[in-house]
Amino acid sequence: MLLRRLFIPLCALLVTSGALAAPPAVADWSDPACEIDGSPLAGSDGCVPGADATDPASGPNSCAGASICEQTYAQLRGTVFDDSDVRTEDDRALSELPVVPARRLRGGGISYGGWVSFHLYRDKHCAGTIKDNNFCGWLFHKYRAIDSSGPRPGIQVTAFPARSGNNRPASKWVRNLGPVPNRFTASAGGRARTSFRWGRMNGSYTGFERDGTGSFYPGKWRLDPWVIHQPSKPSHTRSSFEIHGGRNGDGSSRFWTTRTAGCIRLTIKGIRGLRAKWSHRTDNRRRAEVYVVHHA
Amino acid sequence: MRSAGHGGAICVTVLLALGACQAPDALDPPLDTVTPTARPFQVSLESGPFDGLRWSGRPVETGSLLHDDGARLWSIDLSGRRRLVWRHPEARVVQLAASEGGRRLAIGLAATDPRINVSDTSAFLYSLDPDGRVRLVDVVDDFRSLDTPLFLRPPTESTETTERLYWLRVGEGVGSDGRIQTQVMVESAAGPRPVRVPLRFTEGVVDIDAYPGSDTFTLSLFRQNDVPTRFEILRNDDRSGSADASVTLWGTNESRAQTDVPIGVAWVSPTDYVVPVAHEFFPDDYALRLFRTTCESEGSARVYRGTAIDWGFAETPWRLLPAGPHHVLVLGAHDVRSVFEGRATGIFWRLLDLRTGRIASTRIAWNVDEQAWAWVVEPGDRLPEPGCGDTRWTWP
Repeated sequence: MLLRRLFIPLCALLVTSGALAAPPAVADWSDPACEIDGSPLAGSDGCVPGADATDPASGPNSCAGASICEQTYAQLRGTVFDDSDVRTEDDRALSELPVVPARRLRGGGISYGGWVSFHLYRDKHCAGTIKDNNFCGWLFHKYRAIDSSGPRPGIQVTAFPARSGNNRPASKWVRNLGPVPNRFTASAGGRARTSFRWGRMNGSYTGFERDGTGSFYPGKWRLDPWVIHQPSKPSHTRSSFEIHGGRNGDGSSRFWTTRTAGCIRLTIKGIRGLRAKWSHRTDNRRRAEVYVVHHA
Repeated sequence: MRSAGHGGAICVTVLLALGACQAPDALDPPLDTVTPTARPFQVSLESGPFDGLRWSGRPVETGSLLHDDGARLWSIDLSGRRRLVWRHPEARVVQLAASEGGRRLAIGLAATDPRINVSDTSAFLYSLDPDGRVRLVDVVDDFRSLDTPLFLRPPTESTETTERLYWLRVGEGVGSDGRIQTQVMVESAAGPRPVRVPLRFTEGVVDIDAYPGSDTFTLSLFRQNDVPTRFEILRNDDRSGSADASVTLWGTNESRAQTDVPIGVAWVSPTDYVVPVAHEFFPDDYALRLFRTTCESEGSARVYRGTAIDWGFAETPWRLLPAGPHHVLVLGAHDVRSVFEGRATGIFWRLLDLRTGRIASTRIAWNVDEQAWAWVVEPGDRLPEPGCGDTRWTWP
């Protein structure tokens, strides 16, 4: 009874104090508040870009920051990347590549269907990347060339050293700590997924965004779904995953020294190289996927 | 492995640092920018933004901080009072160092954007000499940085009275030995010279700290693997008589601590240095430990234990600063968290008393966009050499 009598004044107090009010508004979708892992703002209307972005002009194709540069699996035979674990998502990715009508081919009569995949390997493939909690991360950009006769044989692979959170798959649902999850749902009760859309946020195309701030330099791509749910506990979410760089105040790279809160970090050069792949080897970039694979 | 001369070269990780990857089969024109090689540390002193400038040449006040806001170099005492040292053209100042007595300064710049190509200059290092000259010491490209300048007396040159400027060239690449691309450098009459530091595979020097003018120093090693911790702190003891060590070879590097905390080491006197020691899975055991070069065989002293100090671990890096023989400057964990979450941009340094472990606030503002700080020390020979008996030494 006492609780019932207290209920209305208590609610009034909470509303006036803001505790039951809607989350505070953000200036717009580019507000840093939209980029905080697990923030209730991340899925709010304020964090939805109003219109699809236009990519800034890009330089020439490049493999800057890459450890493997546009190699086929045949060419990788006998190397440390001659491994079925590098190909985990290939069949699915190929099946999801859009069909390119002849009229959409480039001037040279060719088109490139591309995707990226982030792999975490336990005590494996560690040469050339950071080893964190026994796990080593790589971001692969892969593409298949298509000409007027259809897809050409072979997948071209470019590998960038990468890291995500603490690299530890067991922590993947711990906000601001664990790596980007490899299995999630886009809504509570939705179907489980293993990939994000590359360069999108809350449904809108954001493309590559230049960003000179220390956490992201020289830029970033957002990953969609912007808010993801844990399949076994749908009320628990993480959010705001990106692929980005990072530069310390002294000008040095953050790749080696600084973990992310869960985003995928590349070297500064790696971001430039991946951007070249985005612009020159991913003609399907408005629908391109980011697959996440944990080899636990 | 196939040769690079055929349509597609195979560039595996371990070889990449030695040779550039080539274009794949010719679906498109060849790649016109390829992953750069780990080029030798050649000297090519291009023009920089401070070329031809002069400064007063007057010694900077000792017992004070040196700080640059991008247009002005300040001397700041612990009460927060500022004195202008030098007004210079706007630049991205990212490193500062002062020789003992503040007679000579070093100032590091990161090139302003855009830096797009590997051939673009990425960092400059200048010496502000006592005669008023502002002299370009080093310059790098390929997205490298010039880090942790400091003035040392070479440990193997006991007759040398002049301090030499040492620093690091740091890149993003990894060599075939698993080491990140860092190189200790020293100035010489012929220009910058590399200093060899024998290490195990996968280790690289990412930080050098010392009491300016001293002939001993600590190295922070970065390990590709984080087992047992990401960093190992070594102290150089070449001065005790290693036969083969020299100005350009640091050989006797003894282990002192394992830590996950990347904020460097603060030398508060020629003998005493403070090391943050913590393991990421045991955050409650974070400690600052005081080492004394003359008492290291007895262990070290825990001068702080707790969770109030930030680890410099997340997206807000900072460096531990000495502040006299009995204090260091730190950033508070809550303060840094507020910056990380965008609730604050400017916070204040906090002063830790090494004798009591107490932390006091200061009026010295710290800003995430202004990272150039140094402590200006008085000549080390004016400080009394402490014994070992007044401190409780423990292990680890």
